[in-house]
Amino acid sequence: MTFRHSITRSIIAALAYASLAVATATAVTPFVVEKEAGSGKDPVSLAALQTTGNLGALFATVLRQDLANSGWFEVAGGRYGAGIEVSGTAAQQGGDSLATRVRVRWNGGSFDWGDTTAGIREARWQAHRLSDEMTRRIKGCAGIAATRIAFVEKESRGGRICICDSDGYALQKFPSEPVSPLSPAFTPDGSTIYYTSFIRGYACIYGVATSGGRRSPLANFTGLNTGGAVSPDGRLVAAILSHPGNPELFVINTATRRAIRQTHTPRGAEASPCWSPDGNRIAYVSDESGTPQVYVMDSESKRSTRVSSRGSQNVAPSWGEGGRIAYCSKQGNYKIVVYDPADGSQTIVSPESGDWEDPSWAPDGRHIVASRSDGRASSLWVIDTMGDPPVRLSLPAGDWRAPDWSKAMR
Amino acid sequence: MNKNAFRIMTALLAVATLAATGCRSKPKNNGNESYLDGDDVAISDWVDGDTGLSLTEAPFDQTHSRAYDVAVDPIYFGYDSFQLPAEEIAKIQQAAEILRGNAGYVLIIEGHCDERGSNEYNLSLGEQRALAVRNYIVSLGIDAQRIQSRSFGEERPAVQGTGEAAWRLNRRGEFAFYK
Repeated sequence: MTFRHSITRSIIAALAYASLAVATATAVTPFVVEKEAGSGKDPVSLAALQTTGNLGALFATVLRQDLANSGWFEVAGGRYGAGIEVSGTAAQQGGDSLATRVRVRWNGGSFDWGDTTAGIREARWQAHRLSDEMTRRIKGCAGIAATRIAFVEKESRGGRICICDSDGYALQKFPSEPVSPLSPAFTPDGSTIYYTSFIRGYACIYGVATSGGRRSPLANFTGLNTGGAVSPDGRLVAAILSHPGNPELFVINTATRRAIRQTHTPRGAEASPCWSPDGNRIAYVSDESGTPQVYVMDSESKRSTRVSSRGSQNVAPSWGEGGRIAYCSKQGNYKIVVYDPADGSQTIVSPESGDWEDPSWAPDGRHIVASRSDGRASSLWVIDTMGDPPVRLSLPAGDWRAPDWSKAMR
Repeated sequence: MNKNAFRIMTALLAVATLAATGCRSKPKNNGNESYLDGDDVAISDWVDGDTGLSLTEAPFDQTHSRAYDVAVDPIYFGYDSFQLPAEEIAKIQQAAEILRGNAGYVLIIEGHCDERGSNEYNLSLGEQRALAVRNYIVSLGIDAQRIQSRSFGEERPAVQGTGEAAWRLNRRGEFAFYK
């Protein structure tokens, strides 16, 4: 298996990191959710965008939503007074084709953008790509619109892996399994999802192409095989295996198909590994202290440091492009906490009510997708760590869990 | 945030962006190579270093038939714990006696959890529960090769529903004998 390493993505990540470092410097207060919705947003006018046909109108609607969801823009009502103007045409032409010719102008510059595509989904993706281009050019940050999210649908018996676009549309379902699969995780290039399946009767790690097709086993050893997480360079997979007589953290070299044990905790179980953006550290859960807590292991020293402190359980870490780690913390109910290694702060970013679990960072290092349960079904929401209210993914009624946000742009 | 603060922030952002793009070194392609230090083993013929046993042995439910002539009730665990409760030990001893008295029999122990908490952590916790039972049976003199563990975490509850009445029945270890 080969994986592409994208220099472009690294640069985008650097930009996102730089902007976050500045933006959060004034905003982070431990254990307080910042509520500054609307503050510091750039007004955008779409008044000079001419649309024709249903697909043209759809393009404008999705673009408006994407710009709002980016967290950086607010779409102004009129044409004047907006610092950023989107002009041009989005025209439906014969059948289901959408042709866009757009100019985006703002104080610092302008760019032209256009494409011609067929179908409703591609019309939506044109809007997603333009929103991300505006985010990248105007704000210097990675966009999140033209990305996908993988997750689990719990069914009355069993469950299945699903994928949708970043706004919840274009739901794609993989075949149902009699025991619900767990922990889907995209490879860095977004081409493959690794997940834990009981299809053999016990927990094994499989990979399946996001385009569909056969699943192939990565780890099916005696005992437990779970938590498959691919390193940013695509060469290694962190996983939890229990063949040593106890669940331990391993790193598997996918090229040589050799596995190396990382933890030695005969009285502790490990779970939920994830990689730092530079691939030099792994965050994971261990209960060797008596309760499950989040630890970080350094690849050089192989030393582990506990990073979670409050809460009787701290689980399911996700390491964002900006360097911060989000995890689920039991403090009464389950909350999403963001840990910043730069200053050691731990900030609750989820709203008060409901149980919030399984956080996964968006590629912008600012937003987090997480599941929210009210005791019955679970739904998926996007949380803004800079304070905008959470946005629910527009999925049909159902029980949706364990989201993973792809870091790859489509 | 007022407008001036925002302008300053934007200016800082521009500087920081330049600094970041100018200074950030290209990620090392082999930055995580150190994870490969240590006693690695080929996955294709994975063998335990201590016992020499294969680590890709076939599960008993693929090599044996289910033995319905023997059975042991499930044992139950405390919340977020893989400790074997004293009042459950008799069931484990019973399972050990079945293996001792029936040379051709083997056992799969299934570890399960209640629905609370992380599905992924519960999968590891369920495995720890199964392994705790396995270790106890081995300590009673039964060959470790006759016992396999597996975990379903919280994915296969014995009873549906929430509340301690359901949860206590779902935090369990189940015995499945094969011959």
